[in-house]
Amino acid sequence: MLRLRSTLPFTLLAAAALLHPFSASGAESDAASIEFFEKKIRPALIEHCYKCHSAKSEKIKGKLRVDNRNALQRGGETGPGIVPGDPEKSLIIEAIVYKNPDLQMPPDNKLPDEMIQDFIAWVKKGAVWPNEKETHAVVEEKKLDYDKLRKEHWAFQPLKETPPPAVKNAAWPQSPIDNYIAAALEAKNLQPGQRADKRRLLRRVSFDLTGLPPTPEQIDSFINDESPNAFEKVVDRLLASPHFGERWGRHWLDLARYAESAGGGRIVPLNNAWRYREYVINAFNKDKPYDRFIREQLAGDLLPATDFNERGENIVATGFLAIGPKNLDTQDKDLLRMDVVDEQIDTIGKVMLGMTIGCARCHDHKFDPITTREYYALAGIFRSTKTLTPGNVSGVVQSGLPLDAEMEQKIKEHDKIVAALEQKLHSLRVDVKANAAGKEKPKVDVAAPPATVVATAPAPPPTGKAADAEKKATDPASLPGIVLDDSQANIIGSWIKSTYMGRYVGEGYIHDNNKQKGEMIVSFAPTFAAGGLYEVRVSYTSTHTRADNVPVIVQYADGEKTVTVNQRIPPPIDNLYVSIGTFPFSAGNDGSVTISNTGTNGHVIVDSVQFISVDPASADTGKAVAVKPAADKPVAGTDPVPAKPATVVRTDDQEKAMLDKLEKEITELKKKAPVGPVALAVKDEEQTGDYNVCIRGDVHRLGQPVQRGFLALAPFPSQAVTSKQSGRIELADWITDPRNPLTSRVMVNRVWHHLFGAGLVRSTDNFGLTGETPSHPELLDYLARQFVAKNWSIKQLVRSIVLSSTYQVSGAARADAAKVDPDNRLLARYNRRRLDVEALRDAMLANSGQLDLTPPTASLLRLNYEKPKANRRTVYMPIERETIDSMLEVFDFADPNLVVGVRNTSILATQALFFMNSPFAVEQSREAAKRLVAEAPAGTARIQRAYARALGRPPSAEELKLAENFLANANGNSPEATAAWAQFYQALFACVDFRFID
Amino acid sequence: MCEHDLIQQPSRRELLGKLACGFGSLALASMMSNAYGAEKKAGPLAPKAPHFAPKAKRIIFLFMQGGPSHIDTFDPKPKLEADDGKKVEFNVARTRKVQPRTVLKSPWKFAQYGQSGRWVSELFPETAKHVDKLCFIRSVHTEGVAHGPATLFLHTGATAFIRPSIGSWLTYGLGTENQNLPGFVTISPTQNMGGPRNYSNAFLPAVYQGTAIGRATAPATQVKFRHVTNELLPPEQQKKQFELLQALNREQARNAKGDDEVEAAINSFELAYRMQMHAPEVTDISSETPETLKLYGIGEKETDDYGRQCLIARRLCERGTRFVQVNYSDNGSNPRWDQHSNLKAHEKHARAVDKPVMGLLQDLEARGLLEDTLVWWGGEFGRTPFSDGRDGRDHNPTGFTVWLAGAGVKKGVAWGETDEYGFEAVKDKVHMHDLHATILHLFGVDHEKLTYRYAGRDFRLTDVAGHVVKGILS
Repeated sequence: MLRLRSTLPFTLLAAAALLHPFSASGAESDAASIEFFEKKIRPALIEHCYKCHSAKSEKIKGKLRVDNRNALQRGGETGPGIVPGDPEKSLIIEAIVYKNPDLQMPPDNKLPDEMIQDFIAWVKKGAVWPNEKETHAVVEEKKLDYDKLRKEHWAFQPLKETPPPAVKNAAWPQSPIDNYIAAALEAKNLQPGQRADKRRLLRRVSFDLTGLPPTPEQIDSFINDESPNAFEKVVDRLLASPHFGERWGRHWLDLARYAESAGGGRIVPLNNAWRYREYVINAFNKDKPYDRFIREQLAGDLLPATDFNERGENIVATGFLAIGPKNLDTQDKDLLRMDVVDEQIDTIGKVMLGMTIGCARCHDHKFDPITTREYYALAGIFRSTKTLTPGNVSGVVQSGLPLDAEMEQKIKEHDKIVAALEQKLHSLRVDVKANAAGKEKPKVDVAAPPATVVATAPAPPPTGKAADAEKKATDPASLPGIVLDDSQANIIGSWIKSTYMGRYVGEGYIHDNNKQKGEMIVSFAPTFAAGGLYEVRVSYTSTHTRADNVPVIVQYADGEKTVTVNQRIPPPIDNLYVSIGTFPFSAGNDGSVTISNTGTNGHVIVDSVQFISVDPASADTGKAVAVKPAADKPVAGTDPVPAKPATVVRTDDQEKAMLDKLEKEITELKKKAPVGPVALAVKDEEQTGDYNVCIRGDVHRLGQPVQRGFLALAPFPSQAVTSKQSGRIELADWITDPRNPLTSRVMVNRVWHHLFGAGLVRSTDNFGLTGETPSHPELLDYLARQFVAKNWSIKQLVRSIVLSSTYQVSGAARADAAKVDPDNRLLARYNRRRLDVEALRDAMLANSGQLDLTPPTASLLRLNYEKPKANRRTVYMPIERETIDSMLEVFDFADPNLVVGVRNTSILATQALFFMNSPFAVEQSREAAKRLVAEAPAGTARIQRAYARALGRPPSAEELKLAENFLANANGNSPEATAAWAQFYQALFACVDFRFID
Repeated sequence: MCEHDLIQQPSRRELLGKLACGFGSLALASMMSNAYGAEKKAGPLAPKAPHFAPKAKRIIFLFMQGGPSHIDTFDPKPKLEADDGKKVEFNVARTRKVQPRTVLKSPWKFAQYGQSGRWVSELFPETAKHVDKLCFIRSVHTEGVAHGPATLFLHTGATAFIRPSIGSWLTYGLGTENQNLPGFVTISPTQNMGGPRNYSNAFLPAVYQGTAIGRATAPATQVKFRHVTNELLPPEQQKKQFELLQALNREQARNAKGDDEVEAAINSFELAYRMQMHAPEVTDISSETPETLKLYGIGEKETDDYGRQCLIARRLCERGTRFVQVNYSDNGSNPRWDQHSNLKAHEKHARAVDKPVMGLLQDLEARGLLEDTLVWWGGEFGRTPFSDGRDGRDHNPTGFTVWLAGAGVKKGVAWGETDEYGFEAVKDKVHMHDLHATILHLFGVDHEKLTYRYAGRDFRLTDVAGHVVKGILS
């Protein structure tokens, strides 16, 4: 609507304005009105508004001008500035009265009240403005021609098939790849490069494919293998190695901004994130087709599966959507939800399509043909996807994974036993109570199993006569422990009192009327006479219209926990309370229990909270706590509750002991419950559907609804999403459609980047108009077509590239090429590259013999990996967004908050200091020296052995001389000699040839 | 605006000449530049031209984590006393609703101090003595109601997006003046509330990331640069090892002729070797006089820790570090100044920082550093005039106080106002973006022109907002 208004041809508006040259409602004389305007309004506008809202403003804010009536009436981005005669509908009035926190003008200071009254009076009387020529028309921002861009930008065009060009040096190409490369070189009168020597080549391909250096034995074997396919054999060995997935999986984790904590405000761990890491590594090892890989990560939870393993894998894959950085303690939960959606869209755009879609959140993309409507068409899909769980500090969704038969059986059996015991406990309580009330004791055979047992379901509420006998209201004083009724709570929002449903504690309960979600909060602040462990229980009245996801936040002595309560099922304890868990509280009033209606899906009930000491030594009977006496008024509509002493006190010791024992037994049993595997994974929201445009990205200002759908820039038609599901499957279909040229081009370019140090398109995450153009567009399309044709196989793609002559050329400098092509875009030589931190650390550990190559099947805790014996591969180190390991930080590890297709490769003094002085470098040098001393006799042989292991080659004559001088006195195996060898090894770790591959 | 239009970009050579003087010779600066081949390029950390003449050369940010209460410190409101215990409607930031809340008066008495007559409560007796040096901004407002988002907004100008920290922006814009030391240092930062994101370079090149020394809750006696001391080898032995390494490197570099990165790697070791000589000295305060230590409250139980941090900040500044942040922080989910209950705990925190901060201010002044050093004191937000629980206050991003002192800002001034309860900023409002823009301005940097292209877009610290608060400039 707003857009329409601002794009109306100016002449039309001018014509309309001509019909009303003056005020439309001329109640007062024009002269008086104009005088009022000139005296009161225009000066105020000039003084307070012109700076940002006139033709002379440096930048017209909000596209609103107030220096002529037409412009003011037409308004800006938010809507018409004035509606003559109707101050209530006039946005400038809304802005100056400062009632709307999001719209306050002038931004720095509220206008004097008198002036505000003048403005209101002026608008009311028709906003009279003398007829004057509009001096400056509002200049429309130049619109990009999106259609033209869609038709013309190279990246949006279908994959082209260009036959490999013929080349002069016909002996050089081993693969069509080489034809494209050689042809471009020859066009510049350059010869393709010479083949690299075997040692360098082996070191290069070993690091590139597995991230590990070749062992001296592997070097010897390759040097001695003179068969024509010796290199091919090496490549196939490396491709089959489980370390391939660790190397290439890590490349993907850079894109997936993998981390094990949320990284926003509070430190919130992302438990089970490691399963996603394991999934990615396995996917590369299994050579999972890339299209399938994408489908699983976007919509695995919605895909059919043939068995529980596949189903589990599919669910874990969606961790891709869940592990992004987020500020879970953002209080504006609508904003948080949209921030998460935005992060997902932005990530998918960059990772899979090479497009910066996130730019269109607030306005149409300034460079690429992506409209805000298209953005919100995608947003609808992810608004329909559940990533967060409610709470003051929100959580991230975890999904139980399908169980194998054995585990399933175990859990079932456990639940059965617990349910039986709980049934027994319930019966016993009824029994005790009946006894206490002096009624006839119903006969309960505690030994007999209950007639029906539903796993983990609460005991059925009493019905019929038994229910009548139950008191609707329970006196808090009759309950054990500390009981805080809703009447004693700190209440925020318009909660409604009720006594409609029983049972409840005190004079009734309160409910949120299923309204104003996220704004109503009740907080209980207990005072403990003594610190210790307390079981926290909350009471509510249940029925099917209740919310099944009520967040209850317990703040206790050393933390905070959010528990979700299902108020649709009857509370299991005495049909009154549900246990939230047991927490430590300190003496005094530090703790709290907060119940809110944030994100809830039905009526939320708040009745009372009970704290029962589970630490007999410091039992807090609640006597010290002021409990509001309920004696003033009789409880409406119910019989008075029996006065104190309370029921439990009357129980004889034997019964109490039985109760205690049983309760303890159940608690213990629950602690030992078998737990099935859980993954960080998204699922569809209960309510799925389209979303609206958020005006200027403001989640509190919704514009028109938009049907869910995809981007129009792909060169094939796509349909809007009408599914009852979120639409993630449809999105995955659209992305992996072989006609979508971005998906395959972006991925083959990433693989090229990792093998050559630069992509054919160097801006790997941006194929849009501000990205780079490909150096070899025909080659890029050739690779993309091959990739799709070969079932999206990453291993086939990698194999075809490393077996080309292009990959195998020498890295030695070429003066002829350097002049014509200083950036080596034409690949006349191989790009020398710095080892990334994973390869560097793993190589140091491989040299020292300390590397533990077993993949862990869990998250490595920090304590664990700091122990020398837990020297797993770097890919398994825990990645916490709050504390990145110092070595990773120093050596340009991918920022886990960003999509990183290309890592920084800085060369800094802090890195040099790490080699010189870090405990890790010192320790590994010592270990490497110990190993070396044991392996080879002192002298030249030992130096050669160290070179073979560290650099994959023998020392040069000069290097040998330097080393021999340094080690002149380090003969034999004495500790002094070993220490000297450790110093030597430390220098090897730090030297250029260790840190670079060429 | 006009200022930078008049001043055409001087040549880089001119500027290097100008800016490097006093911080070691230009030759030294370029020889030891961090990143690329020293002879060919000046390096990404070489001093760079500001857009116009700067007032400030360096800044010390005293971060009061958790949100100190402005209405109990520097922004007195008699109305709180008058309405204590009454229910009044406020536009509550947390719920985005107008809701009744119970007004809570300040337990501390206020008085006017100095020639300027600025108000200070009895929480800050030392600060009270120096109000004539300070510029209070009592109308700051920001984004984010919870600590995490607001802390990130304070440092990066964004609550959720990953953006570079203000210190990274300044180092990117202006380089650093001592190539032996990092240009952006944060002392004892928290790991919580975004942790490293608060001093992260985000998408800027890695050389601009903040260097953390020490960490929150660890004693300030442990504040040191990492890996700058070699405790294993005697110096002559290390020298021998170093010579071996560089000889090997030069030999290997012959095969990599003309490769900038290989050259840079060799240079990085030269620099590192020198840093071993310089960096440990910066954090070692043993050479300071007893008078200086006393000035900062070092040796007194309550002020020792923050005093040490402040003194190290001065030492860094003296040696050319551009941006130093001194964190009064911990790693809890209710950070230090976060008194939702027991507002009285403000006394402890005020005592811990009052003397050290004023010691720093006096010391800077005595050494002539205050003229071109900007000092910024403040938290991520303020606190509400209404109670949270019985005796605490909630977060308040809609109006609070920070103070500036030193380079280029007016003295003894109180800028802006909050409403009668001290809840919302109402007069001469200063958004956090405006504060950022103003700080950059004091460094001679136009916040709209300090941009970096990432993912196809030009980013800036102030996003698409920010106005320089001209009224506080001296």
